[in-house]
Amino acid sequence: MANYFTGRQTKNSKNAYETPNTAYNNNGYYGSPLKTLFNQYANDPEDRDKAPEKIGPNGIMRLLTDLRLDAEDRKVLILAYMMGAEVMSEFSWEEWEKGMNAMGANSIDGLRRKLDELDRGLKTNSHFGPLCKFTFTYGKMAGSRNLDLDTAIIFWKILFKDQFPLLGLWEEFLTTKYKKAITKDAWNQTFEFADAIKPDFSNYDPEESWPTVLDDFVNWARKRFANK
Amino acid sequence: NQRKANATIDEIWQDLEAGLQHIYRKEPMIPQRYMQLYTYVYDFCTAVSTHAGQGIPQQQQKNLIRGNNNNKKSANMQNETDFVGQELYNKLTNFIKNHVESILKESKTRTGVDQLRYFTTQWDQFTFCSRVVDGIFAYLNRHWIKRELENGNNNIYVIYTLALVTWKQTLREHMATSIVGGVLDLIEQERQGIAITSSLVKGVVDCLVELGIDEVVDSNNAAESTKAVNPKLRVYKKLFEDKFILATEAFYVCEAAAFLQGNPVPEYMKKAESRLNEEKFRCETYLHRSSLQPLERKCEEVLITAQLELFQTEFCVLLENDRDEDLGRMYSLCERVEGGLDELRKAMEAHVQKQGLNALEKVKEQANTDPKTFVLTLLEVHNRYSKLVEVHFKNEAGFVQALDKAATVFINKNCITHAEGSNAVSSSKCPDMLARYCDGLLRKSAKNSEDSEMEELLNQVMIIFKYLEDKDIFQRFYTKKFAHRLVGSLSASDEAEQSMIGKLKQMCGFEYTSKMQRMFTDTGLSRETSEKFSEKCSNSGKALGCNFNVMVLGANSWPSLGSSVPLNLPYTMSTCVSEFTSYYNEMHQGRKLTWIFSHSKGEVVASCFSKRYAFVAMTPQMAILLLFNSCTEMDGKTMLEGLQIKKEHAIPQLASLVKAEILQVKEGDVANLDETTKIALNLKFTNKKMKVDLTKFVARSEVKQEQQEVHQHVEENRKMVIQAAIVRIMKTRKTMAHSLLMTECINQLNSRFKPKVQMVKKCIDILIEKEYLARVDGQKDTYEYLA
Repeated sequence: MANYFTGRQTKNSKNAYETPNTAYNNNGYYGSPLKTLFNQYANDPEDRDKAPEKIGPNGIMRLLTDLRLDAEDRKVLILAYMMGAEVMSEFSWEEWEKGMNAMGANSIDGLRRKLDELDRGLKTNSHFGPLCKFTFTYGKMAGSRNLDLDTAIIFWKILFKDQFPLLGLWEEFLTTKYKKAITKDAWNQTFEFADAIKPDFSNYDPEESWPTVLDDFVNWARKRFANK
Repeated sequence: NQRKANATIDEIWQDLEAGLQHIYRKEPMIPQRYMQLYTYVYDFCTAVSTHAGQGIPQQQQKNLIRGNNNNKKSANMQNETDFVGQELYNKLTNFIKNHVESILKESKTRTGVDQLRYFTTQWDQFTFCSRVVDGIFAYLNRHWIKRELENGNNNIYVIYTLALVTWKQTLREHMATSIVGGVLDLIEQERQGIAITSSLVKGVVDCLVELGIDEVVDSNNAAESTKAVNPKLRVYKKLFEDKFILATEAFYVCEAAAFLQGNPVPEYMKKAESRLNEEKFRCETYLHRSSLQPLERKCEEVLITAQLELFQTEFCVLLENDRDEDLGRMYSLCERVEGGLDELRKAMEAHVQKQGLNALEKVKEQANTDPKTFVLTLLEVHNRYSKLVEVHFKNEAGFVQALDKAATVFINKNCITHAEGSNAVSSSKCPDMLARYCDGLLRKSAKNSEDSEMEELLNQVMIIFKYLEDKDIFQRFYTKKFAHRLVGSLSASDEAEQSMIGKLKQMCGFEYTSKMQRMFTDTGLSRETSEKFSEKCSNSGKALGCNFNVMVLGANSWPSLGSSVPLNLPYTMSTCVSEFTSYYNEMHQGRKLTWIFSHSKGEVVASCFSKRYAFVAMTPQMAILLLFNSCTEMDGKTMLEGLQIKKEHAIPQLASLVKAEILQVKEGDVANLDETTKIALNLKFTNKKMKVDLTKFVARSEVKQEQQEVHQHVEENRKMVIQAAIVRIMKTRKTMAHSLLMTECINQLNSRFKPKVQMVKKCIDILIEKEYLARVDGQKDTYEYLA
């Protein structure tokens, strides 16, 4: 199981100590259902040092258990995306509040239902593109321009589920030939590629605006097809 | 003759008719008689008002006139004249009609040339006589007819026109069949080589053209007016030209088929060419000029367009056999029809490409190593076909382009540049060969060409250069060779060098040659600097002990000449070096001099041999030789200590002197060069010449390395150049579609090298990553420039 949700302390959490105050202002009274829910997971004893006044890695694990979600479920990414989470394995109060309001949920059951709904409609609603773009920024190391190859592959698997038949081949190419971090453009264009190109590459034209990593991939894969 | 004041129509007509008959018989007429006839008409027309009321009641008359005329007032004033004019007009019409009918009757009794002769003669007479009659009826023309025309009466004509219209109406059928048929027979006879009286054809043609006199633009028939047919020519076109064109087509379809059965295509082309000329001449001689275009179109269609496939097949055969004149003829024929040249251009391109490749294949062995063979072979093929295109294809743009395409292929991609088993470096083979060929031309040698000849040779080089895809690689090779020529004073002439730089600059721009130009300048300045330095030394009384020349080369403009190898110079030379260094530093503060001894040379005199020899030697060779001033034999270790030079640099220099037989190895091996190696002066050295050039004995190991070095630099440099170009384009365009950016970028760089699509795309990748560019939201094929 991938450990991408834990232990990668990346960006420094800004204004961590100010968050409780804003809760009063926005909700009118202390102890709104959202805040109560937040507090169930925030300030977990083991997270307190790393992420004070936030839901930290352990809090998130408990949340996922309550939501009956596996860490590699796409809904976990959708949750982070809806929250607009800045740092992996952390939700601040603002993120929590904004995300829950956007989803119109104020309970674990409500959240679970909403996530199911969003996930089911992902191919047709307008969230898929932004979710993919979000994932790149969410998943990369702070200060790095590109996304680690291993992380990228894990996220692709989560995002695509079974909708990209060439994913296995793509993974093989990237890990055995390419062996570099994925640029933002290559990341984004892979989704375009998955959407537009037939599995036999018959409509792929290397003169078009695809990034060269995809040209190289198609070239490599075509040779493999020919050899078989 | 007495004038009769109130003449009635019947009174005057009898004599008038007699006069008209006289005229149409074309018998001589005295002026008095002519005047008399004129006066009849005048009197009749002017006298009418006085007896107007006689025949017809006034009321009826008015009604009649109202029906004809909208302007009531003027109608009342003119009514009587109108009526009488009509009467006279009708009489005359009838008269002419009878006359023409008699001509028709007579003409029908004749056939062939006889008929044509009768017809044209009658026509000439008729028009002449009708003009006379027109004069007699001038008063009617000027008044009654003029008014009728002004009032829009389309059935009334000026008398002369009336005559022609009558002729046309009466003879139309006869002309359309018999007369035109006769003319077409004549033309066919002439096409078959039988002499004809062309004036008969011309007579009929003129007649038909003139008969268009009354035709006006028919506003109801818009289709005709859009075809822009001059309405005056309608009769000519309809009665004659249409049939003529059909007859022409039938004739040439038959002739072409029959001729091609018994003759080869080149003969056919000659025939077609002369036929086209004949037809043009025919049209100019006796047809109306407006027929030229339809006639030529039809002939071209039948003689050329219909045979295009045949021509195309034959074209390849002619190319194979170098039948230039026939090729030229085919060009001028096919040029006349639309799309006629397309296939020929393609065929020529393929042929030239094949010829180029074959020519190189034939001299493969030699051309692989000898730049001269390589370049001259390419030139020979190119010049052969460029001459063909120039002389026989009139430098037509499409053929020039086809030649260019073919040349680009066989010059850049042939058995030499893409030899089997060659590695990636091979793409530099052609530029390398060309640069070496230039070096051969420009380097001082016994067989240097005359100035004028040199200029021509350099122009020829530029022909190949123009087609070179990797001009940037050529630039590097050329610059290296150029540097060697300058440093070694090996140039045949400064003018030739300058001329070559000028040509490169003209084709590729200032930037391409700016470094070469600076190298040239450096060389000139160095000469001055050396002179000034010597002058200063002699003025200040410092004796250098030798002649000393130095070249100061700007590190930015010159290619790397190899790293500076430290070397312990003999005393005399080291004095020069240090004196000059301080002199130069005084002149130019902040400049750092790096001495490259491996490229400097000098002359030493040896007095230890049987004769007194002068040796031209590289500086390291000199340093070794001068060591033997103190002894005649030494071991390797001592030598290295004396030179203060690394072993691997010393070995080739030493080996060269051993090879030149000045030194000899007594013990051990030069390759080891340590205590065990004993080197001695060969005191028995002899040479026929008094001055011996030792520099040529130094083994040159640089060539391969040079190629690799150049290639590596080029790849890196190209990426930078492409990125710069993309940024430049995007900066001005802000947003741009992928394909347009690719095209624009490749176009801009074409004069330097041919960027590969993948390389340009790679550069786009890099620029997106560096955030110079981004894809426009929702349009993955469009980029925007991020300032």
